[in-house]
Amino acid sequence: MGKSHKVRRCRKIRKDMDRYLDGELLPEKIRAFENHLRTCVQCRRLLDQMREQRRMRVRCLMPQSSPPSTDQILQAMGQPEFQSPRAEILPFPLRQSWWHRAKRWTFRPVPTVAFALCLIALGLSLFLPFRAHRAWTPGIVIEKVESTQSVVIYQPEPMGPTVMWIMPAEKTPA
Amino acid sequence: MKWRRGTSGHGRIPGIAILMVFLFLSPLFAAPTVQVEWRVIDASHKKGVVDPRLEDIYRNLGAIFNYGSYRLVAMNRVSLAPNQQVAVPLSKDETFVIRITGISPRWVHARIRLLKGGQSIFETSVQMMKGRTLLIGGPSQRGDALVFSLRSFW
Repeated sequence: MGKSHKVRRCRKIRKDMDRYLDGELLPEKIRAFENHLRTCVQCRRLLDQMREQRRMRVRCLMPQSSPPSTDQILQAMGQPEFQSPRAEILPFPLRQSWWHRAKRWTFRPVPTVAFALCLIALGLSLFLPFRAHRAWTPGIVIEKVESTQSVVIYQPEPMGPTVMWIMPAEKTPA
Repeated sequence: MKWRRGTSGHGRIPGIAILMVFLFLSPLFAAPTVQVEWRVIDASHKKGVVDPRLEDIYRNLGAIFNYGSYRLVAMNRVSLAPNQQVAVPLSKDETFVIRITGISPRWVHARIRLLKGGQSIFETSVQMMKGRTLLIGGPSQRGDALVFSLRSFW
C-alpha cells in the first residue's frame, strides 16, 4: 500500500472518529474503521487520546461540591493530558479534502449564480464577435483561378452564392 | 469538527463534472472534418417546374440567365478531412474533383478542378465560410448549362 493511500485512509478514519465515539457510525463503516485501527498505531493513539479528552470534559462538567479555583484550573491545564494531542502526533494536518472544501463553496447560491453569469458572459463574448465578423467578411475568397477558357466571377447578392461561370471558348464575357 | 456526508446526491456530481469535461474537450482531440454538400444541376431553356430544393439557385441565376427550368441531377453530402478529395462526375467525360486543403475554425480551404477527358480545363483554390455556396457552371454543347453547387458545413 502506498504512503499517499495510507495518508488518505488515515484522514478518512480521523474524520469519522467523532461519529465513532458518538456511536453514530454505520455498522459497515464501524467494521472498516476498526480494521484500520488494528493496523494503524497513530490512529489508535489518536482515538485513545480523543476518548480520554472526552472523559476529561465529562469529568469537568460533573457537579462538584465547590467550584474549582483559578489556580486549580491553571494547574490542571498544565497537565500533559490537556496538551493538544494532534499537534505532536499527527504527521500531516487533519484537514478537509479539496472536494469537501469546494462543495461548501459551490452549493452556495450567490457564488454559483455569479459563476454561471461569468460563464454566460464569456460565451457571449466569444459568440458575438463571430456573428459580427460573419456579417462583414466575404463568404468566399477565390485565391487562384486557372482555366483554358474564360471565367466570369460574380456575386448577384451580397450574402448570396458566388458564381464562377465558365464561358465557351468562342464566346467572350460581357 | 465533524464532517458529515450530505444526503442530497452530491456524490454524483464529480462523475457528471468529469463527463461534461470530456464532452467539451473531445472535439479538441478529434480530427477536423468538414461536411461538404454538392449538387449537380441541369439548367435548361425549356420551360418547366423549378425543383423546390433549387430555389436558392433559381433566385440567383434566374436574375441573370433566362433558363426556364432547373433540374437536380445529383446531390450528396460527404465528410472530408484535409487532403481528402471527392470526384463528382458531371457527364461522360467531365468530372469535378474537390480536394480539401485545410480547415480552420471559420473557413474551409478547397481546391476544385474540372477535368475533361482527363485534362484539367479549370482549376481554382477557394476559401469558403461555413454555409456559403459556390456555384461553378457554364453552357454545355447543347446550349443548356450544367451547374455545380458546393456548400460546406461543420
